[in-house]
Amino acid sequence: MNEILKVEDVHRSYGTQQVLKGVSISIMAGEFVGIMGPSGSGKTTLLHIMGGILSPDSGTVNYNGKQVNPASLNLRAAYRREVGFVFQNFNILNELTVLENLLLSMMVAHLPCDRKEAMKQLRYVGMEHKADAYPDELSMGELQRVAIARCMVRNPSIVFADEPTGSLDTANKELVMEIFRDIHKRGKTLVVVSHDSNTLKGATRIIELVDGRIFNGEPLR
Amino acid sequence: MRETLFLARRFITRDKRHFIFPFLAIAVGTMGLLVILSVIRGFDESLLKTLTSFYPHVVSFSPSVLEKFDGGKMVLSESVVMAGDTVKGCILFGIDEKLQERFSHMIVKGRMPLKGECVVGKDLASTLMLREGDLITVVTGDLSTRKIKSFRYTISGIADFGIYQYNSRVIILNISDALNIALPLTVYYLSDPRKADEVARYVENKTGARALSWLELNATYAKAIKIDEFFAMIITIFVVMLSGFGVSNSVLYSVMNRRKQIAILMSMGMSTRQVRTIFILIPLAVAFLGILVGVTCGMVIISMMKLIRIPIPSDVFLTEHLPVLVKFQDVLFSSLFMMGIAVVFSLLPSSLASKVDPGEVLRSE
Repeated sequence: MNEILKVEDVHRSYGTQQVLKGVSISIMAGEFVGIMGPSGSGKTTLLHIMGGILSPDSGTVNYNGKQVNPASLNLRAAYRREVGFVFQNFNILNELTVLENLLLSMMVAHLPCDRKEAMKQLRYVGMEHKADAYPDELSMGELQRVAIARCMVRNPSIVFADEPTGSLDTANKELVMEIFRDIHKRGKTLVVVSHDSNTLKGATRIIELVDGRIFNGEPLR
Repeated sequence: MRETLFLARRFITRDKRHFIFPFLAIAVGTMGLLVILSVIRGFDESLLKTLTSFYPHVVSFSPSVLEKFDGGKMVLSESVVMAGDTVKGCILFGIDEKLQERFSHMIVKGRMPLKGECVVGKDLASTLMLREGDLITVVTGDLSTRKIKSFRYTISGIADFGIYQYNSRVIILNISDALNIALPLTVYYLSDPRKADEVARYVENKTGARALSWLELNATYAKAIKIDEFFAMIITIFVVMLSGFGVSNSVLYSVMNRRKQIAILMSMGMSTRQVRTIFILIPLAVAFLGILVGVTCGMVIISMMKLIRIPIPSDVFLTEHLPVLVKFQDVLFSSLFMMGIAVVFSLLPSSLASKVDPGEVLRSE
């Protein structure tokens, strides 16, 4: 397996509060890495830095051997176009229909606007029938499935998911995680943050983050 | 570019009610501007036409007439006219056959003068109670004797020169009579009287003799036209700036309201340049629509004004109806200036949009 992502000695503070205190992680292509930890341990911050959304105060993030964080705004934007991000509160654009959200994702990633591909992704997550619906007409479980489809439609090399089931009920939690496990089976690299160990069933490695430091990062047998 | 156009269109349609007021500000501003400019231009054109319809555009002291321009011989002199017991100051214009033909349309009664005859302005005729066939006495200098002399002429016609200052003072003589009073000048009439200064310099260069334009001979009126143009520009600038502030305010509001959406777009990989472009395209689109509606409404109002022919006091404004003149360059200039201001006033909000830190915004969400 190739190393796809390398986080080296990353520090990050918010004001005087230091959230990450020298975190280093190496992620191989095809892994499903779960990041766990108590609230305030820096999981989301770490994921955002790995995903190029936040810059570290110090340390680096390398993607396929190339430093992508810290980097110029354009380079980080280019990196974000290659990866996928699924947020806890979905972050779907309310001004656009479900289908348009996927098409926009393709446009931003400089991909052709392929409606067939977009519908295929919606079908995959079981949301084909809601293609013309607006986000405010959907339930939370449906919104998260649309968010996953929006991420997958651009065929990202890594998928970052921040508490993807945090806002969902039990049934939808299982449905969404089933989709993620299937995405992993199809060969995608997954990095999922969660405080719930049930969510991370199927992960090849669990990293525990406590107080901004890695507690352990051993692969699961 | 397609994603920025796509999003700009969506943001406008979803935020319609926030853009109604800047749209109206631009539409009403453009409409008002066009109407004001067309009236100012109308007055300028009317004044110019009135001043230059009779008065020579270029006066040259050279005896030779340049074939390049439409010219002729004219005698100009100031004198006093007596009719009965009434005496009034007047200006004598002695004109040749060519110029008589040029001004024949100004005759409202009678005809152009032959030797021993004259034509008087309608207001002068009214003041002195003169009619066709009446005799008047003109007291002026005699060129041959260099003494004050009186000349008697029979009125062959009454003229309307279009301007009170001429109608109340001008007497046209046949050039053969006028040559007894003063030396003839060479005068030129141009298709574009605004080029008179340029032509006067050209005539001077060619003939070596002094030449003056009507602008130099009527400095007050020329200044009036230039002041009108200056105020037209000032009005344009203020109206457009006001509209620009309205647009900027709405875009700023849109940006502040859309920090989360901007953060989401950036998290998907949209660059800061693309985000800035969206928030420049939005005011550009609003301005374009506003200008389109404003120009359409403005042209409708101007057409109605032309049709109705609003009466105004002619002794004050030198014209009987409110003049309107639409020039394509005014429409183009106002529209482009308005679009330019919309872009300029959107630079700050669009720059703020591009500075949104997606990490901070999404974290706080």
